[in-house]
Amino acid sequence: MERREFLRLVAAGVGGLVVGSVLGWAFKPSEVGEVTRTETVTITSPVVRKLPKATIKIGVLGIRSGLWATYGEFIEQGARMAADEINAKGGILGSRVELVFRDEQADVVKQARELVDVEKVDFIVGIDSSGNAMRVGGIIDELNVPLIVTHAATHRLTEELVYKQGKKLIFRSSVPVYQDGILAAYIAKDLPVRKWVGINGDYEFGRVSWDLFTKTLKKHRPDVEFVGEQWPKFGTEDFKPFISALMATDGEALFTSIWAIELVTLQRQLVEMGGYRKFKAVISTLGYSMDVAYALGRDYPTAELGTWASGRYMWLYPPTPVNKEFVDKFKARYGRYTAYSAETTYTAIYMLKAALEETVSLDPSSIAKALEGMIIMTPAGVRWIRPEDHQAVYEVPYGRIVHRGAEIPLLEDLKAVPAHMYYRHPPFE
Amino acid sequence: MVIRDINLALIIALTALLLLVPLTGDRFYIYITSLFMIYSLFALSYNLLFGYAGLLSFGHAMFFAVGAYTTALFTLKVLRDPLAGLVVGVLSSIPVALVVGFLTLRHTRVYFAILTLAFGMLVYALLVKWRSVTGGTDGLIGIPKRGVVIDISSPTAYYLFILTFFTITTIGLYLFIKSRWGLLVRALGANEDRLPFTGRSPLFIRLYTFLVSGLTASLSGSLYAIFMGVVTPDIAYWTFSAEPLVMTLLGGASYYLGPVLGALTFIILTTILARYAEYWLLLLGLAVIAIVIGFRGGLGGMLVSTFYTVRERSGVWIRWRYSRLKI
Amino acid sequence: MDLDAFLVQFIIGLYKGSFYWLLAVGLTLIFGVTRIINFAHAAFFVMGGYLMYTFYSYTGSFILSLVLSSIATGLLGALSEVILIRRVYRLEPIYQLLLTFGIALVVNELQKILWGKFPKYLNIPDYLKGYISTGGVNISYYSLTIIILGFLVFLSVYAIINMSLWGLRVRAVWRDRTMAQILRINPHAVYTSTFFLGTALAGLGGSLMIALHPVGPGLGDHLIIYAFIVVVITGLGNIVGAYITSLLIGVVSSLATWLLPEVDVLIVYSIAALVLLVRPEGLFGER
Repeated sequence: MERREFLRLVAAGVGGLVVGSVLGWAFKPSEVGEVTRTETVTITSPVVRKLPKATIKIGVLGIRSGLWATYGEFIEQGARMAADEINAKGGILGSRVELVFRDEQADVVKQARELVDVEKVDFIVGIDSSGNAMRVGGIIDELNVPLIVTHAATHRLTEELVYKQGKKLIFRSSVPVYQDGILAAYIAKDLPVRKWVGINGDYEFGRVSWDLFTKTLKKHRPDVEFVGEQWPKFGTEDFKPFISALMATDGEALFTSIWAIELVTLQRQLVEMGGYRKFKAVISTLGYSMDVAYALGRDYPTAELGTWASGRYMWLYPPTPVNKEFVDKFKARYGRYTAYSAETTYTAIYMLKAALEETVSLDPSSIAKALEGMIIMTPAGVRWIRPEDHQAVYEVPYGRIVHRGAEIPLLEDLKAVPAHMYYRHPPFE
Repeated sequence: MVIRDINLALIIALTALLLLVPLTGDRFYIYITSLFMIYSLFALSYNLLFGYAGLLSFGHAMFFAVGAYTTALFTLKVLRDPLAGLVVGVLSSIPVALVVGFLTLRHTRVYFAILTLAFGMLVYALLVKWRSVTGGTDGLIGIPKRGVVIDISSPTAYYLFILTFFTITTIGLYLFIKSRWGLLVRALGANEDRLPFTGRSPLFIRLYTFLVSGLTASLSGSLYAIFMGVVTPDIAYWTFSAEPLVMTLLGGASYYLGPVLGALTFIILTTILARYAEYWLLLLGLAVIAIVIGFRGGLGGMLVSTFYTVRERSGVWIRWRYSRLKI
Repeated sequence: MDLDAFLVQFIIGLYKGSFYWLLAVGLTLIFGVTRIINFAHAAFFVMGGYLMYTFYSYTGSFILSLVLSSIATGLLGALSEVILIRRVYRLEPIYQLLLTFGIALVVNELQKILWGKFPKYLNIPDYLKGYISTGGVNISYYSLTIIILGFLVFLSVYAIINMSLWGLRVRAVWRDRTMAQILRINPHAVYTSTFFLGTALAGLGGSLMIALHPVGPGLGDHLIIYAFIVVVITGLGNIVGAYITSLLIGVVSSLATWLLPEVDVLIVYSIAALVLLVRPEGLFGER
């Protein structure tokens, strides 16, 4: 057998050589010669930065059912305007913005999870109700997407979840309950009245507003007395018994943080029952919200010393070109003056755009870092996203309701207080 | 091991299926299946009262809420552990069941239904008004999954936690129904007038049924609190009490696992249908109407009757073939 | 105690109670006669509000719209009875309740489809816009109108039930259905007409309410509780009792708002539970 093996070995070797040479000849590199080539390239466009996805999805949560459905619509209006504007100008670094709308009243935790796990959104914006904001905020680490709240006002969102618990993915573009409680006290302190009554919703927002208002006012005007308080529950249809109970006191002025459709009913019933003869001044912290302004229209009641109203943003302030352009475009598209949560949502999306343009990545924590400390020009003015609690800091004024013949009342005697005076500051004790 | 009982077999099969879910790794499926298990327990507890004992209650959410809030309060204020909180939550239903049960079960069925509604709403009002303890309409947040005894923070962990309780309770409740105690409960539901002739007090039977039902409902509530991390008063509102009722009806009240089938259907409807059909509640309402008028057995009934029909038809066919073969 | 303030709260309580009455009278009537607890009752109340809105936008007349919407709601109620509820008279009460619950869901959603999800509101007609003043507080003519209307409804219903021929038939069926049939009274006609009347009254209530408070989806869920509380405290099936109880609850919760503002809601439910425990058939019930 040895010979056969030996022959086989030789045959293999020869075969290998033949195959190798043939292959080597077939695949040989071309003649190696000396070639020198030079090319001049002129760079006229900057280095192309692109996001990893061609479509950026933003989940939008708002109240879309029940008596407060108007607010979900406001949020939608602002979101759509921002998205359409951005897409018309080429998107964010070339990527399209797509919005997914969900009703936060249909079990907000489920909706949030569906947005992230099923719809695969990259961000969530919106949320009207403070309770819902706390719920979604509570699970934000699991969801792992940046959240920009554009309406819900509880200070606990930023003070507790962001500052104390370090949930860095939560942001808020709208001014919180500081505006309802603390800023209102700044208006109240200059009014020549001593006895205040309050009617507020019996839940976190109402309680906190009244609490902050009374504490702040007492500090600036120790002579002030609070002679009555009523706590209608959320969703009250009829304020008459509460109103009459307050009218039985010797209060001179009324403070209320009641908002939306309830506020419309409250104001109507106040007028009906003669409340405006008794109370010389009325402070309505969300009284200049557009749904209320349009609903009451020319019948919006004015008190002797003024009905002072505010909101999270007012279309007539500040008188900057940016704001004017925004309001005009909004009116052209939707036929009405901008509601505040439309502006705050519009801003939220632009905030995300700015952050994305800086990070060029969809990584949640880089985006959060980019948003932190951001200073951005928006219709409501310059917003500074405070790094400690991710709360947007900007000015919102109070004004006195006046009627100048338009379909909605206007605000005059605007009082804008610097934000640092009415915002609470870390460490929030 | 041959399991002769179809229900036990189904439960075991279901558990096996459920064990597969976390393997998919899809967070949403894990989430929705966890919710399914919790709702199933709630509906099963409800059917014990409704289908077996014949007691219609509109306040069942009170047990769910009591279990949830007790667990929340315990883990937030006393001992930061979900398992301990769960145990306390379940036990908290005992005084509620005894007190409410004693007060309400003496009345006839219609009044009982309305009384449970009143008591259920009383609990709701308490939860809303007692802000210093319950957080009012904002509720309590931050219920921990990571505790001193156990840590179930990962989705797989809490899923298995819920699954364990689901299987144990479902089997346990079934054994209860099959036992002598359960026999009395079924007797109560079948023909209450005859019951005293057996020497048993209907009130006593109703009471312990109410107790067992309440314990199970509170268990589902406690699991819910831990799972969600948040509790709010709307889990005590009467419309939430109506949910296990609808689930039971959908699935079939006369079958032990009917409520489970109903819970599944309900979740599928609310998740999938709600996304495509804005007016899914309309469909639900129509479904309820249709079921009451035509299909009182619910889906379970339809499945069972289909099964029998198929079996009979194929039996007939097989016998015909065999007859030809002259075997 | 400030007498003026008390008077004001009392009158407000009466006006609220009148609304509860309009809501509860239909429920009581329907239960008394047919033994069906109509879960959809509040949905029909709200329907009245929506229909009022629509009729008003077509006719511009408050009173005409009021009449039309009440009748229309009544017809809807009667329709539901004929098509659906009739089928379940022989079933256990549980299934009857469930059916009406299903109907409530359907009606609620239909309202959303037909009128959208934003609340609707009407203004009080000009000729009712004034008020009378007492103790510095105004009581609007509208509130007084409601109190008066509520009372008129009470008188009318009482009169119809106790003095008319139809009422006689209703009472006969109420007492003993089989005997009534033997006496050639058609129970079906009685049932349907009772449903019509009961639902129409609810529709009237809703139509009046829309001028005071916006009517929107979800309102029915909220109101049904009050209807049940009234009916439950009274005892099912007693008209006089229902009127008194409705007013009582209205006044008590109004006074509670003034004197004990933190617990007003709790008080109503507690009273309900208490009454039921002591006298499960209700304060005026017949059992």
